Amino acid sequence: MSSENPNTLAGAESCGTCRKQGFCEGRGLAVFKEGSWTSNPVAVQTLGICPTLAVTTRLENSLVMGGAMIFVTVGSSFMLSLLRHTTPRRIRLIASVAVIATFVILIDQFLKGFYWEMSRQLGPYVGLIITNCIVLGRAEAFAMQNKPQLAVVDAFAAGLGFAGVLAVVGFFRELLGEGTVLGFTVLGPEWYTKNLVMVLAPGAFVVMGFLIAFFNWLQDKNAEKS
Amino acid sequence: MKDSVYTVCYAVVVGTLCATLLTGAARFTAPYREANQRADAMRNILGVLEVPVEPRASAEELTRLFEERVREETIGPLTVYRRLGNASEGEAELVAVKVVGPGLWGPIHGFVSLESDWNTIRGITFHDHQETPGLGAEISGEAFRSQFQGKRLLGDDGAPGLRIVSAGAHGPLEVDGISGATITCDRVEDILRKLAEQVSEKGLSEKHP
Repeated sequence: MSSENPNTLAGAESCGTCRKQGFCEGRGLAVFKEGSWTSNPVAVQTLGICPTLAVTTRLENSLVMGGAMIFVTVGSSFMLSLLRHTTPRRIRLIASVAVIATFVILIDQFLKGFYWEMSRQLGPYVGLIITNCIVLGRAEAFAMQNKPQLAVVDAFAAGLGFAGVLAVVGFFRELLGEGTVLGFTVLGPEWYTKNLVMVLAPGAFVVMGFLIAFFNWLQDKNAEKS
Repeated sequence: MKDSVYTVCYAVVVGTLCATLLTGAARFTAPYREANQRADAMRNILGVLEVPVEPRASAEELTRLFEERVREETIGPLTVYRRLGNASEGEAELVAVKVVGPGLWGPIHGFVSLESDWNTIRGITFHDHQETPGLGAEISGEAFRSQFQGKRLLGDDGAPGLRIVSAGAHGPLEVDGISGATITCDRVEDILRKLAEQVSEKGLSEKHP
């Protein structure tokens, strides 16, 4: 995340100037690309590994977890960005955690009410979003220094980056582990032997390894170009 | 000083705001959560009563099946779910009893199904508990639960006799515990002992010799 700090500061500056123009849109796209792709929270910064390993046994679980994460990052970054001038520095962190926890419990209650089976399968991992360093990271590094609009873009990008990686890992684990995608059989049981390793934790490590390698390869290629 | 007052006021305002949001959300989702919990309990009761249930059955389907196949009654302190079977299909009488007791981190809720002698265990589930995942939580795992089939609540002397032992369980009164979950296993043993006491106090096991 330290590599991001210069950008974040630059963002704060340019935002100060573009206030006269009324909009931050020019900056928004760059922030979005940076947050979701070039410094993807999971594949590049290797944050939020715990849920990535734990809930990606099936694509549906990954998507719901990703959605929950987007809701929490966007909601908390928006709130904290609104409060950024009024928050006393001494209790900054406590306020952040309180706001994040509120959004986490909101989504947890929602899942328990309307998506019971999924809530049981995700188990404690929805509640554990509170401790996910991506959420607090975006709140601390970005939302607290930027306008709400841009903070929402940044949080959405980070959430989407996380959700995207989860979806990819979940897709391959479900496909190779159970031969299905979203519960529909793709690899028929007549000719495909289900691979139990992909269902268990090592499968997540293997897919994550390939993903991180892919992102590293992309970075190398870009570096060579420039 | 002024700073501190502001900090405290700020904390109070943000805290109240968050708490209000959460209270609202909790109240709004409460009926839905309770319906889901009830459906989940029904699925577990139907499970221990060996009524076939579709894995993806909805809450409405579960309720319908439950009303069709199970009759709930209260015998003293016990909540009993009796399976309504077709005698013609040769289904034996089977009852499930609700059990609850303290676990390691929070209450353990479960159902035990007993054969017509009110002594031999047919099945057991623990559907709601806060035990340590991977250790105590294994009480709701198939490996632990399947051991109970055919075990007896009461010993030959008629006193509660089922024990969860640390290794080498044999006979109808012993079940293998879970390594690393000694306290949870002790609490489960307590829960079953309480059930055995209640069953024998009510004279239920004599009623069906």
